[in-house]
Amino acid sequence: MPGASLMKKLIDRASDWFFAPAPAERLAAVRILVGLFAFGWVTARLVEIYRVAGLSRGFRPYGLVRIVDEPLPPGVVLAIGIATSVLLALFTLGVAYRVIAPIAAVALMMTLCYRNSWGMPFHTENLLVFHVIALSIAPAADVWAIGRRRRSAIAAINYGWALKLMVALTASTYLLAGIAKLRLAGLDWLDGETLRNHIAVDNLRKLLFGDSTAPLATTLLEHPNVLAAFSVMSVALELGAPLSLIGGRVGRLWALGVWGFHVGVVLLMNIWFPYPLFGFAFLPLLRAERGPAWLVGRVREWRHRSPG
Amino acid sequence: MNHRVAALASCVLVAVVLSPVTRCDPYDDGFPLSTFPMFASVRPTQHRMSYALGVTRSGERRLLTPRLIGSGEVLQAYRIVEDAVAIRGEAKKLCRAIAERVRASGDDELVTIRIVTASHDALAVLIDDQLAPERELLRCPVPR
Repeated sequence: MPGASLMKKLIDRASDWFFAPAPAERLAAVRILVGLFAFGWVTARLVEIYRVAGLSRGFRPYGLVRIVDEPLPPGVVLAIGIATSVLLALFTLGVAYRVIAPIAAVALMMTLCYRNSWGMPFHTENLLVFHVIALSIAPAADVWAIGRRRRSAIAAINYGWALKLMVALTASTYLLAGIAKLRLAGLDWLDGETLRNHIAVDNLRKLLFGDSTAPLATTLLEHPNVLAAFSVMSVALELGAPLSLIGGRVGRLWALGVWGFHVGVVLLMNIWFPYPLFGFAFLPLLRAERGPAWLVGRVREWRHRSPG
Repeated sequence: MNHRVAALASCVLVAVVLSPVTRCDPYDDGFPLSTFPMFASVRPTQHRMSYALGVTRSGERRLLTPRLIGSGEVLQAYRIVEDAVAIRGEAKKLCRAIAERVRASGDDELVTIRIVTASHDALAVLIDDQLAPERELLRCPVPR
């Protein structure tokens, strides 16, 4: 049957694309770098997490936290946060990965859901959670992991799919942001005025809450035409996010565009999305193993040279 | 992991992440599954908001940092004040809590905390430095 044959061909092509080989070291490097970011992010926010958990009101449970009706005692929240940090450290090192990684992913989700259940949910941590979940179900600690013996033969076909999944998750979050703009504002979002007004109101809040306003906000608020160009570029990058799945140069070009978009958000709104801003969100699109491989090489060289 | 399981798990994860698009209300946000409604809607520059101010010994008006209000983040501090103003009796509690934090911070200059509300034109404030009149909702002393 021609229909069945066509379907089989399509499935085979999709499968070839999704399971295209990638070095085990690339996935391991992404695990190490994303894990380091997650560990640093949670650890640096432990005090803030503890302090916010002690607020008397403003608790609206999201995600996993919906299992509790009342806020948890701040001490318990801090204990969960510390446990999350420890688990993320083990995740990064690749220790007992098959067991630790899924637990670390759930702990990270719990800690960040709890933090976002106070006040209002932020959108700076969603992708980090999705990437850690994706890594936790992947064989991301087959190399460069503590307690792992070096394997003689590693099938590269087992590692590329997890990186593709991470790219798909990244693309999904940006696509959703683009769709939200079209659903809520339609094409009006593209005229620059909507963006200008958001920049103005956001900076007003910062000003009246004693925070720094963005460095270029006041200058560009007087030039709505420039902001119209930014609006079109933003929506194009968001709706064009699935193009990143092509990978290679197209994927890296898209990543560069989105990185520039986040730099623009800092300059116009002083809103920092550290995960994409420092490049971690785009690691699955890059040859991420190069940096750690260089470092591992230097360490081995140093070990060989050192006496004894 | 076998390839079929990997493909299935990947499809499920991506579908779950994309699932908020099916929510009828795009403002029905959540975490980590989000509709990403931030900065998506059409909005005017006129913005009514409540916020806390400090008054110094010499009667000068001083802006307070988000941390003194109860969060390290501006938007969450903003939400804390808005929520407190919306519920009877809560603004008073918040004012006292802020005053207590000011005392604990060791700032000897501030003597009073005011919770005010105003309808500002964001462009007028940022470009022309023109604040709209502020209406005081309540004030409380900084304990010494």
